[in-house]
Order: sequence, then structure tokens, then C-alpha cells
Amino acid sequence: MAEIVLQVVDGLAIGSIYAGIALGLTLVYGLLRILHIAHAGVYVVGAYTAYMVYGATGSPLASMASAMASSALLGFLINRLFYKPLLDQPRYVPLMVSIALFIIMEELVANVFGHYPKGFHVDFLSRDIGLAGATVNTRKIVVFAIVLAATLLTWALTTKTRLGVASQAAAQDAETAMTLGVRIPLIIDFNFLLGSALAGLAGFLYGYYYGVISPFMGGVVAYKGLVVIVLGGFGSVMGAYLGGIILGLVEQVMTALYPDILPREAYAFIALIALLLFRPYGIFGRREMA
Amino acid sequence: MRVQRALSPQVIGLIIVVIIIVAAAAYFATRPTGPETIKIGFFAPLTGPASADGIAARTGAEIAVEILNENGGINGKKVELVVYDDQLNPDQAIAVSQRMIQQDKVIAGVSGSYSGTTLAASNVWNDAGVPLVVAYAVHPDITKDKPYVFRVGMLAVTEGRIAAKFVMEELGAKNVAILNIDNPFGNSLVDSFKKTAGDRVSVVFEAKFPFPTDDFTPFLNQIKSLEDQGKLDAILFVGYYPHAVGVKQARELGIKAPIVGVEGFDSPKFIEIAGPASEGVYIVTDFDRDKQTDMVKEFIKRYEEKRNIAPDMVAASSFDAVMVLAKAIEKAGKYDGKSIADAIQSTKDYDGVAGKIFFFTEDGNAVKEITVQVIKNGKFTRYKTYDDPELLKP
Repeated sequence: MAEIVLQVVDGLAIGSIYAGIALGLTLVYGLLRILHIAHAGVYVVGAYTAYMVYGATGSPLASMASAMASSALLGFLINRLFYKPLLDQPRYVPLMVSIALFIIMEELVANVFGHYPKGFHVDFLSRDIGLAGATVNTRKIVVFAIVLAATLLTWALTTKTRLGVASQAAAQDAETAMTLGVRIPLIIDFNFLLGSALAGLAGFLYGYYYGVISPFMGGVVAYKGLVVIVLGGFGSVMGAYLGGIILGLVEQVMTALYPDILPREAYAFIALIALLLFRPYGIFGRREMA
Repeated sequence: MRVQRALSPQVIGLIIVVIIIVAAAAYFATRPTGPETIKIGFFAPLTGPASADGIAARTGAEIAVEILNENGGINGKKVELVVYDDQLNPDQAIAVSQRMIQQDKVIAGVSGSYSGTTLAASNVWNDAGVPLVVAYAVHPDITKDKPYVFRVGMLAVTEGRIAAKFVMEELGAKNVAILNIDNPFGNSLVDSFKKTAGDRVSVVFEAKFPFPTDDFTPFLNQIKSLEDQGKLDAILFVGYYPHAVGVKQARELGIKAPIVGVEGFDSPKFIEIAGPASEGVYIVTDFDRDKQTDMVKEFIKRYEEKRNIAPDMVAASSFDAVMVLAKAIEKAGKYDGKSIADAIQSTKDYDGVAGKIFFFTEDGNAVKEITVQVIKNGKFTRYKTYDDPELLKP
């Protein structure tokens, strides 16, 4: 029993980090239909900002806020400098640019901060508590709670505010929305700022959760983030959240039960293949009218 | 009276010609034969996810060259290291090896890279008859049936054997959980561990993980319940330093059993990542920091000056690879592949930075000292040294 509790708590915590990354990705994809691989680079930069600010101030909250701010700014700049001029190109052009940007960001971080991973031990709400017969570190619950709160906030921002509704309208049909007076460039900026801030948050949370960051920590999430937004249905906030949580839980449980059959990283791809075959619009997505 | 000229212009001309010929003959007779500088090729992953190790390896090799040149080079010739990035890509390793041999005309090479790239490149060097000394790549086939390829590092088989002896004899453990990286290194190490231990150890839990693993909790949660039931005496954890996260996670879960790691954990980064959880972790490796030889002290000092971090096994064995090669070239006194390879093969009792090399086996593998280090007060310190050549043969 205690072991099941431990596995579920761990699965939820990791799933929350996936969800944090996927939320930002889905905001961008919904609007621009760009597979924003460089999002994983934005996440790495967020993590390193968090590391530096924590080292300088010792404040977990300042560390988290600075990660979100630096990532938001970086995402915003990537859009303005690279994606915006390419919007009339076929979609594989910004995709290639995005992959190149990701590799450049990884190597830049490695050259500035060193190629080795860095121990990042954040002293924040980390102690053992009893939970249903198991001993659980509160850090795992904090990660889950922060991402849940961020998701609800993002969901509210994108469904309950004028800007959010306009953004949804733009995602569904940009031309019509534009003729109705929606300022598309403003909305794109808004989505990049919000989505990238969430990537920075996830970068901070990864360091907080594992106690280590590395210039190459974005490699795995670059594709897992894509799997999660496919799982959740492209462009859907709640879908991205649930997709992340489900992937985290499935990975945790399957790896625990069948460690020798498939490595953890394989489950994301199996999920992706199954979905593309049976529900290409995602578990939570709706079939779009042709 | 006019003094008669003693020598006619013809005679002077003749004398000049004779002098030139004698001088030229003397020059060619005393001129050093062979190349002006000794070029040694080097490849390692210098960019991408494995770059931290690649750069450490390069630094180790550079320090060796630095020391050689400060002491007059090899046979009075300056040593030059020709460095290439293999990007941890076997095709790239082959391409840069061909380039070093054909264009740069290196007389020998050193691999500061992992098994996949080194295995691919080893055929190129062997076929060209240019010796290659491998620092730390562990795959057995790298040296197998290749008379021009040598390895100064340990083989996974030997490491597994020592790990088993240590776990049984020093820790007195019977119930062992095994976590191992799913690659040829991890698998052959664990096979050798089990073969050595036989039925004296029962493996109560076993799981393999891929390199990019940052979460070991699916396994550790199960290991924790085994310990709670009194069925766990030790954990054999075969991974690399980024997997220090797993050690941290184990201690956080409250697992108390001793953890025995291997050379992959041999990096100051391991201690940084695991934090206080690294205290008391044992590692089987060949780099003994407590060895008070001048070479070890000098190596550690120079490395720390260059990189602002303590050296690791990867750097130490790359240093040794260059030094073993240099000693062999010096001894051979000739610069052809065959002479150098013969000289490496006949190396005896080279006391390097990463353990003393007793001799090389027919397959070109070093038989060398192995040490078990334990982390105390945030530092690797010697726990025990194994130096019986019979036990250490691959």
C-alpha cells in the first residue's frame, strides 16, 4: 500500500513538470501552428536563471519569479525575431529554425555555465510527512500544487478574459477574427509571454524537484512536450495539463511494474503512436469538422 | 716582389665545394630522423550531451602533453596534440580518425571517447597500422584482435568482479539490489558481478535504466519496501555521475543500505548533485586521489588550475593514455606503427595517475590496480586497493 502511494505521488509530481512545459507549448501551437521545439531551450534558460538567482539571493520565490520572467522575455524575442518574419513560409521553415535555435541555446548555456550538470538544491518546503501510511517529501506535493494553480490560472486567462477569448477566436479562425477587430500580433505576443513564463516555471520546478539542472535537460522534454500536447489535443489548456499528468503516471507505474521490458522514455512514444492511429485529435480534443 | 698567390681560384672553388659536401654530409648524418614534431591524434565528444566528459578527457590529455614538452618532449621532439570533436557520433569518429591519419599524419592516436565511437574508430586505426590508445571506453571488442589498439582503462568485467568481492567481503552483504544502466558497460559489469558472487549473494531486485534517467523512484520505492522487510543489505548502482540524482532520491526515501557505485560515479559532479546523500557511497574505480606520487599530485594541481574543478577518472585515464603512448614512442626510438605498437605491448609497471598498469594482455588491455573509494566529508577517499594481477586480469 505504502509503495502504491509513493509511486502515485512521484508520477503526479513528474507529470506536473511535463504539464508545465506542455501548457506553454500548446498555447503557441494553437495559435501559430508552429511546433515550437525551442520551447525546450526556453525551459533550460529558465532553469539556469533560477539557479543563478537562487545562488545570489537564497530566495526560492525570487528564483521562481526570475525564471518565469527571463523565459517570458526569451520566448517573446524568439517570436519577434524568428517566427514573425517567417509566418508566410511553409510550416517546416519555422520548425527547422526552431530546432536550430534549440541546439544553439543548449550549446550557449553549456559554454557559459559549463557542460557539466549543476547541483541545485533549493531549500523550500522540503520535509517528510506521513501520507496514507507512506513517508512522502512535501516537495513533491508542492510541485503538483504549483502546476495545478498555474494551469487553473492559465485556463482562466484564456477563457475568462477578453484577451483569452480573442486568442481562442484567433486560434480557430485567424482571418475571421481579424476582420472582427482582433489584434492578432498582440495576441501572439501574449501567448508567447504566458507560455514561455510557464516553461520557466517548469525549469525552476525541475531543479527544485531533482536537485540538478543541466544544459541538456531540454532534450527529453523537447519531444515529451510534443507528445503531451498531442495527447491532450493541440491547443487545449486542460488537455495539455491532463496529458502531462497521465504521461507522468503511466511512465511511473509501467516502469515500476515492467522495468525490463521498455525504458521509461518509450511510453511517451507508444502513447503517441497509439493516439495518431486511433484518436489523432487527442484524448481530450474534439474531432474538427472538415 | 710579388707574392705568389698560394691558391688558384679553381682550388678555392674546389675547397668550397668540398666543405659544402662535408657539412651537408655531417648535417644529414646528425640530423634527427623522423618527423620534426610528434603529432598525436585525439578525439572525444566536445559538443553535445557528453561534452562534459569529452572536455575533461581533452584537458587530461593536454596536461600530459604539457608535462612532456616541459621536459624536452619525446626524444627531443616537441609533442603536438591534434584534437577533434567526434560529437559522440560513430560516423564522425570514423571521419575524424581518417583525417588524422591521412591529412594530419599523426603517428598514433588517443581516444578520449565512449565505447560506441571508439569501437567504430578502432578499425580505422588498426587497418591503417597506426596505434590507438583508448583511455576509458569499456567495450571488449574495441581491442579484440586488433594488434594496433590498446586500452589503459579498466574492463567492465574486472570492475564487476571487484565490486562483487567488495560487496561480499567488505560489506558482508547477502541481499543485493541492482540498478544498472542498460548499455554494454552496465550489462557486462553486472554479469561479471553475478558470476563472481554466484549463490553467495541473492539478487533481491534488479532493474535497468537508459542513460537519460533522472527519476529512479519507480525502482527505489520497491527497494524501500524490501528494506522495510529486512531483505536488503546493499545496492549495486551502475550508472554515471548524472545518476547521482538516484542516490539522493534513495536517501530521501529513507533507504539506509550502503550504495556501491562504479567508475561512472567518479566525478566531483557526483558529489555535487547527490549533495549530502553522497556521504558513505562507495565507488569502484582506478583513480586513487590519495596516492601520494608526484605524478598524481602534479596532475591534480594542474587540472584544478585549468578547470577550477577536481579531476575525474575520465581525465586521469586520458592523461595515462598519452603518457603510456609517449613512453612507448620514446622506448621504440622509431616512429612507425609497428615499432610503437610493440613498445606499448611491452609496457611494464607504468605507475600512472589512474592506477598502476602491471602489463598489457595479448588483447591489448591493461592489467591494472583498482581502488574502492568512499565519499567522506564531500571527498573521494581511499577505502581499499586491489593490486593482485591475477584478480585483475580481464
